[in-house]
Amino acid sequence: MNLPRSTIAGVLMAGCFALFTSVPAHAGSGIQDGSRVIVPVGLIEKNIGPEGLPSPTASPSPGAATSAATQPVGSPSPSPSPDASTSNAGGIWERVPNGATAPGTEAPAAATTAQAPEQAAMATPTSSAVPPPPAPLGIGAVTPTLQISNLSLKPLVEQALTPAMAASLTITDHAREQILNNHPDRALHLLNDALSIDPSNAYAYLYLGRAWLEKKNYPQALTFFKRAEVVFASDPHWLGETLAFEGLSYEEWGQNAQAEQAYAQALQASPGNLMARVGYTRLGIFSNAAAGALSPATVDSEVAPPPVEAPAPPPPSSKAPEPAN
Amino acid sequence: MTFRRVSKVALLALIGVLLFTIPPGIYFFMRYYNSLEQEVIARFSGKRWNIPSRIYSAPTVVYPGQNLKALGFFQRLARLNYHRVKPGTIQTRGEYSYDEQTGNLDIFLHAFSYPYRNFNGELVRLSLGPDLTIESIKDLGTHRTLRTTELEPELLGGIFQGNWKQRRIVRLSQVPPAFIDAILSAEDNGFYQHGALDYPRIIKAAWVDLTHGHIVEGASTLTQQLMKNFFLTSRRTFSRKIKEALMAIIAQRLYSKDEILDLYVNDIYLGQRGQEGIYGIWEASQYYFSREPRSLTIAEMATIAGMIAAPNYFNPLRHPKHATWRRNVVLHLMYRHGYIDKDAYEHAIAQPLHARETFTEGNDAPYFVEYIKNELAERYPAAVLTDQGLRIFTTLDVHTQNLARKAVRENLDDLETRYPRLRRKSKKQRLEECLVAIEPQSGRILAMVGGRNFQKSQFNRVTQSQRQPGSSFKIVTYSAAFQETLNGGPNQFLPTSFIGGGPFTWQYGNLQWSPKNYANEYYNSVTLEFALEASLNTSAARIAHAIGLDKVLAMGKKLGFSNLPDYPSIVLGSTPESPMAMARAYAIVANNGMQVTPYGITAVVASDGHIIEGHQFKAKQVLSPQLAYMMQFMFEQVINHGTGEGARQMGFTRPAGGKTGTSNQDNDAWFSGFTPNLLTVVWTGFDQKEPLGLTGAEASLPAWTMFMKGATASMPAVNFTIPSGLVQEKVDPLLGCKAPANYPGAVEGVFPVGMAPTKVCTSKSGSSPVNPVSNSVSAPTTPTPTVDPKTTGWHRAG
Repeated sequence: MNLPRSTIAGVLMAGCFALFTSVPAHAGSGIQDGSRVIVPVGLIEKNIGPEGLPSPTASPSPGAATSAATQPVGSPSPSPSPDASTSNAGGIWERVPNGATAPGTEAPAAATTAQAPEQAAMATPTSSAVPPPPAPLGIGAVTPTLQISNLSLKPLVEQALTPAMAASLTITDHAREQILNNHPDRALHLLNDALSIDPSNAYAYLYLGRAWLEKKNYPQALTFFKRAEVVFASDPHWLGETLAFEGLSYEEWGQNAQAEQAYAQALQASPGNLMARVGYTRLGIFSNAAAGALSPATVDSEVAPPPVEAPAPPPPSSKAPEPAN
Repeated sequence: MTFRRVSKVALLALIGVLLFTIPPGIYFFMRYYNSLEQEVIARFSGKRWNIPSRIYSAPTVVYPGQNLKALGFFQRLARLNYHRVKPGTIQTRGEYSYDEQTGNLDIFLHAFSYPYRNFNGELVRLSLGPDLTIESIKDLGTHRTLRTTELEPELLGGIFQGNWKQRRIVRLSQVPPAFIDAILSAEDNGFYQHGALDYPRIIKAAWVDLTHGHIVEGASTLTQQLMKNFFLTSRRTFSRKIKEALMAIIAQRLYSKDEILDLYVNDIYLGQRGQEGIYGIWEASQYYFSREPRSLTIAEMATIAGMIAAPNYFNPLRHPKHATWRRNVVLHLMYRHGYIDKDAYEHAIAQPLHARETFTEGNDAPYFVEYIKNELAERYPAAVLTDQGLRIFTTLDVHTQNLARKAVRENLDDLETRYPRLRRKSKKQRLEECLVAIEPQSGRILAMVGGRNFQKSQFNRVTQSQRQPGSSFKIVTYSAAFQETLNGGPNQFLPTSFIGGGPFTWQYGNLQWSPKNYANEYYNSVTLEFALEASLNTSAARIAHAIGLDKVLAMGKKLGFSNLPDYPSIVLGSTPESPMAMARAYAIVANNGMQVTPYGITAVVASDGHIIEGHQFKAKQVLSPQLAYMMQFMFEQVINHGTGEGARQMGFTRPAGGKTGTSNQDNDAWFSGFTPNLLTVVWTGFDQKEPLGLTGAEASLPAWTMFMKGATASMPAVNFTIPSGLVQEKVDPLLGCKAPANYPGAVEGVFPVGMAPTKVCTSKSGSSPVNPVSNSVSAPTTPTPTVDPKTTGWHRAG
């Protein structure tokens, strides 16, 4: 059956979202099938057993969730409670890009709470009081981060170094709301104001890209994403977010090779970036399908878990995530 | 008998005359009546008014950290007709108070309809430090701390035919009944009872006029007044009165009272704001009380109703005593006619009216307004602009514009004082200067001064003139050179690379081109940094020659200079360009390689609030951020140590870059420079292309500096940010080693990663025999007017 790409993408996204948001509260149930954790299509499916990887059954402590949820963006997260450290990113075991530390192994479990997954995703992981579970060869753990650029920028505003930056970020935050409310023109207008106050406001460039993406002007969106990318070079979470949007822009534009590369770069910067992960997976499916590896008739079966032995799609470039070793 | 015969004849004659005159009279009267009727119908059913378009400046965004003095904040409040009251007594929008003891500046902001949102006006508190810097902003209504707030845009001008009659249409149903009562009490209390004419009043007025021997009292009904305003002059003649009465009767016959009143409340003249006539109660409510009619108090409604009789005499802002007297008369009539009760009447007459200083717009930005009009004229028919009441929002900042005008005016006066040879008798031949200021990150045009005097010359030199940019065009050559480096081309030019500084001849086909340095100063070998700082022409020509003219042309195209001819002298700016084109190119460098087209129109909004067009923030990355930074760095050196050093001497201390430009025969003097958030280009010269005898540093830089000091004062000081992929190091350029601290002769350089020297200079290498030519380009300590092979100009001593 030939399913529309958007349908598959939607199912994948919904699946991932459900995984990341619902697992911790009822870890082990729902997504665990016997001793296996089912991960979204294209990601690695792994046996969870007593001898290999720790079972992600521990739920985070409420305290950890609260503290991380209120943590400003980019600031160090508080140490999670001991039992939170074992929750391991909602039970999703994931490839870790080559050279990248696996933030999820150190991230507070608050990131997995269903109540505040978005705020948790904003928190930058730091060292934990409890050492992370040992990662087996080629496998690590990551914190899934939802679209942090959908979240309020107020924590950033509070942290701004100068009043001008705070003012600029406040306006950027209003623009973000306009984008989420499907008013890209209003957002463009506001972002102009934000940049007037602080020309180095990288967030404004990211949202300019998003506004143009909303308007389906992909070259323009990419121009601004790339500008944001330069300024976010030292902030992996936001860099990953920006690159993921670059990937999305390329993908919607029909330039899958560049999209795949951008997603891969996003995962390298921010391994837990959900959008990049899903996009990367999606493109893997389609590139496989295009290569004849999967017939169109089997595409919809990709929504279901692949066989245990199914290999992960190879990284498209040298910058693509590599299994850690 | 005779008498009888005579009377019979007379009677017959009379009958004859009547028979011959009455029917034609009736016929002609009916024709006349019909023509009047057609006129009335056409006016009532067709388009009733031409509503001019208004051109607004940008709003003023304020946030903590800004200095209100630098922002010209209090002048802005005055221009926007905010009225200062005692602390704690603010009651209505448009009032503010400043308590110097506590530093609290409370402002009840005006309501304003912005392109994408409506702002209802709020009472905010700006807590100020002793130097008038904003420490915090609070919404006194919600007690929330605000990060920003803004003052509404200022009116820059209008687009209209004939006289500027500004009005906004309000439907009768939207007018509070009390306002109607006030108008009827003041002008025609029997409006709903009598017909088109109020006969008892006419008789009374006629009696009064007869007894006085001339017209002293009128008895016009609202319908008559409307007919007079619609069709007739205000001359008090008998024939006009007849026509007015006839038209009133026609209108009364064809239309309802409400329809007539609906037109009346929108049509009445209610005063003047500079060039702009205030028409209709909506416009008057906004102007005099900063609110819509529905939000006015009874006292305020009565004030406006009272103005109808004599709008300027009863102007509450200029003549509060007259206006108060008249208002009280109207209130008394309202009370007497039973529209208000005693309590309301007593409360209303107790309200004070304060005089206010009113600002009449002098059109501070005539060149900009004209530029906007021309741009609009390309997209909209003239009738739409003059009749449809569009609101055009622009990017201009009035305070910045005023600073620009002041800088240009003072600089020109100063130049003419210091150099009397620049004075001209003919006003058309006087020394001219233009200035354009752009926000590089957004492309907003913040200020535009197209010339010395718009009244004398409407030629906008910013956009319309084409003059040789001279050395300011070197932005193209140096950018092309660094592009080669970043591309890994055969010629690896870095700011600290050496290039020849002596005479140079470029063989081009069968032609030869031998550029000369300014004042014939030559060097044997110089760093690129120094070559740009000192604006050495032969070095720039050598660079262009080395990389190839095609690469220079390609870079020129990237920077917006299309159609450059392919001959070598373009390297030194021999092709005429407009100041706007230069601003566009420099803005790319200032904006980290991103090209944003300069623009003036933010939005065009229809009278019903619908956004006809809104600026779409678009950009294109034409230079890599690395290349842009290398150029920013180079231009910074020009201001810090080179031909632009005068800016520092004049006290401009912010991180900034720029370049002078002087054309052949010194006809044109330029300075193009920028900070990360403001770019300004200044050109000085004669329209008739006479020699100035001055460089860009001498003629244009002072205006640039004067302007930039004021215009950036309220902005946060921002450094240029080095992008990844580049490193900034102090080096010994001659030995190519990394300079340790206190190394003599060290030069700051910027390098692509991997190209920076890694070997650290030894102290021995530091005592290099190389002799820097000068520490300062503007005042060389060792002038070298001729080529000296032993002389190597490279940089300042460390």
